[in-house]
Amino acid sequence: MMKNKIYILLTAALITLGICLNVQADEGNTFEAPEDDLEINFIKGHSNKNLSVTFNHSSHESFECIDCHHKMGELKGEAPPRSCATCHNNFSPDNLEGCESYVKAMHQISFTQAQNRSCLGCHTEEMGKDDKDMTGCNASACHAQGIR
Amino acid sequence: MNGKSFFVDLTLCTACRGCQVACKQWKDLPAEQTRNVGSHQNPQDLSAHTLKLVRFKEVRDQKGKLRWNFFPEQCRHCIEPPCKYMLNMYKSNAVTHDPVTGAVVYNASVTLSKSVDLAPDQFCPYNVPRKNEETGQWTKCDMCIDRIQQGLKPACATACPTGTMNFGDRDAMLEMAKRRLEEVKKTHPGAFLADPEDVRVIYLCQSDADDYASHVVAQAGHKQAIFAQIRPAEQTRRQFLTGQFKFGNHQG
Repeated sequence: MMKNKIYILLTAALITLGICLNVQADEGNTFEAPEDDLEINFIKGHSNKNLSVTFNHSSHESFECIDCHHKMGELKGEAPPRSCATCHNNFSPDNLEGCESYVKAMHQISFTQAQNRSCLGCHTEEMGKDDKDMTGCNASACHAQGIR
Repeated sequence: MNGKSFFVDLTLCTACRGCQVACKQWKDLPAEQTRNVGSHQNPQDLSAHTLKLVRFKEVRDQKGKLRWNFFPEQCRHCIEPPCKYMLNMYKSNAVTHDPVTGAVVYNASVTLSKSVDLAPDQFCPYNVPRKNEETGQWTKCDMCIDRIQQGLKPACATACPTGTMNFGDRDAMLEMAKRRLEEVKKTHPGAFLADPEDVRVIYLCQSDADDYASHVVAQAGHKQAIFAQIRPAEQTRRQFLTGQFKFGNHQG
């Protein structure tokens, strides 16, 4: 009898656990990230230089989508995260006013707030400002081909 | 409009430091407290008070012959200036790009907030700008734009007695650089121009960029390509001295 009770309890516990996991999976995103080697090339400077960055979602796997796609919550998990350029749609490197500036969205480091959402802000927070590979300007992991 | 450019022929530099002194003089910058660290280079790094610095480096060529290289370092006045894009995010008009000369100029009257704590490498591929710790102002060479607007050459180019520092219209400087490169290549096949398409201060190096200083060129790929032919690692006198005697933090 005791043995049976333990089995029943164990089965019940396993089922509950399974349901919980399922719910969590449903609440978490199930969106496919874009393929790697995504070329981000919105900024046009004053020369013919290619100022692009090649971005890999796979190397940022340890982060939640919402860490960068911060407006994702508004979509209530019903639509995939949108491109940064949907809202940050000012691609001029000269006019850096307002939150629309793409350059700013990718590079501004917040020195006062705890949370940094931009590429450079997060890299600086994680790696420190003297890590030339990860927070450097040119010949860094981001701008390997460079912006000069 | 192609603006202005420098052509710096490193094969001719004798490290007289005329440019370094002329820069200090024209900019009315104070002297710095320095110390002997076993090199004739003085001071050891650029600073808010040293906008132009002749770097000294001893290297050996493939035959083991010692060569003393001199590198008059300054802001390159990039065609696509990352420092402008970066610093202006924190304060509008902190940096301007002069449309006539192409000079990248830090606006002396605009100071970034004290909380903005950037490292030069974060916004300059050549690690040139330096922060004045007293004022919080970022500083670097401004191409002597005040002199250019009066029809003069920058102080450094005027002072150079060897023909190392040349200044003029960009097209003319590029032409001069290419002509000189052809000539130097006859005796030094490894000679090259450092990032001529990207910057307004074009250096002619007669051997590998690393033989001169750490930030001669911006891209990493270039360095690796040339470094394929590895040479025997010889210790220079400076390396020997600085390795033997640690300066600065004496412990016990």
